[in-house]
Amino acid sequence: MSDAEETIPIKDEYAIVAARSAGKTISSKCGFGLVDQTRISTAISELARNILVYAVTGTVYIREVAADGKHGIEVVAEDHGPGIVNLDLAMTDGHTTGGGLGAGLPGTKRLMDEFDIISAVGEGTTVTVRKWL
Amino acid sequence: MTHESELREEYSKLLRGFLESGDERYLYDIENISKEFVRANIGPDYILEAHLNTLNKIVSEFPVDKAVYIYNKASEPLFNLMVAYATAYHDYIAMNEERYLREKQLADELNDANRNQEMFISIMSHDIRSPLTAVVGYSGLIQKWSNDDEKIKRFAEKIEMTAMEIDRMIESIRTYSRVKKGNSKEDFDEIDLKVTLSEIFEFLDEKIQVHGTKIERRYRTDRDYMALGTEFLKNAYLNILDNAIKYSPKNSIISVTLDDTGSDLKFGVADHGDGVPDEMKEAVFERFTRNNKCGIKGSGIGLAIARHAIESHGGKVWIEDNPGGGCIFYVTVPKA
Repeated sequence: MSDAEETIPIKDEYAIVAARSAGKTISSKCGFGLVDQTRISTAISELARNILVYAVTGTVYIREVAADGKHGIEVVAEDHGPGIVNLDLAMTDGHTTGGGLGAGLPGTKRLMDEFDIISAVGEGTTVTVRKWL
Repeated sequence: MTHESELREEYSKLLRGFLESGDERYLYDIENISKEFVRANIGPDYILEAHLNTLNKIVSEFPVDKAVYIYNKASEPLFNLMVAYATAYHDYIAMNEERYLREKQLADELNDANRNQEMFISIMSHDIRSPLTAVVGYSGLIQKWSNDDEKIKRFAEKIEMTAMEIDRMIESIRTYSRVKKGNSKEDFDEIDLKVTLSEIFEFLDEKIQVHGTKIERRYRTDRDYMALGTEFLKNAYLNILDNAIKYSPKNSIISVTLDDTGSDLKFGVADHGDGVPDEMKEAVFERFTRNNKCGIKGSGIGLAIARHAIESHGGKVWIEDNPGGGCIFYVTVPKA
């Protein structure tokens, strides 16, 4: 079903830039306007940065998706880091342990239409976000 | 350069870098700098201004037919900046809200703790005082029924005096808690500081004699020095004078001044003791701090109470060096 897909291993800031760039290419191909393209690449930046800060390495998958007659983009950020101890807290507006503004999951959630997170302490975290056209 | 102009300058560089190279890296850096804009409390209007100024400058360097292309291309970094800015701004607001709620909760908890402490002190003082009354009463009875046995009489007297001492200690704990809580309006009376000082010297007379201290009163006795004060204020002056005597060498002179400075009454006590080093001039007013405690009795709480009392009267207390050696304690309170 998906005709555009990118896998970007995250290990440094250059990889974040590459992930953003891939996100922009795919979202533009999907037909998103410039503002949505920016929202998507900003969300990708946040997710990739979280990987770098908390898990050191991980992977970002970006692909075109279609479901229930909808068409859009899906970004999966996966790591095998320490996991999130308190998910509710991590999803609370204004909460930050990485010590920065806009470096949180709530911001990413606001930028996208769908947001799912699975995290197990000691195993890692997988965040899946989607934006529909 | 201010932080704001530095950030604007930095943004100009990134914008130029992107327009010249189209490199995604610049967009990522712009995303990061937008958080700095939020932190530095720089509004979106100022950022727009910086954006347009840079853009116009760049456009003027290129042929006219390139202008449209550059303007179009420039919207992408601007969008990146604004989306990241909005995300960070939302976080900033949420963070402040959370901090506000936390502080409010702490303030509430503190108020509760203070109320509990006051209640505890008042219950405690009442509950200990009641049995003390019995101790004092029965000591009196023992003295009365001692059949003139001097030994028993003396012991009973000692018990009575000790019980009274405990009573005074409870009273001073209550005083400290009340001074900390602040005075209520009805506690204030117009007092003449000159009279207050005379009462204090009378009270300290024995100590003054024992120390061989000579008190030099350098103020007029033919005028009033009226202030609005409470018992706590009188106690503060007493504490400071008592302190000066305690820390002075035997047979030395202590000069006491009282001046009308227009709005305030300034009280000064100059001694010839060892003085107070600069780093201790504030600390001696903290609880349980003593400059040099060799051979000197005291709980170390007197000056802390004095400062609370003076400040609750809208006054100030501080220490200066005495040019002739030793130190000078100054207290100012507003005139009545």
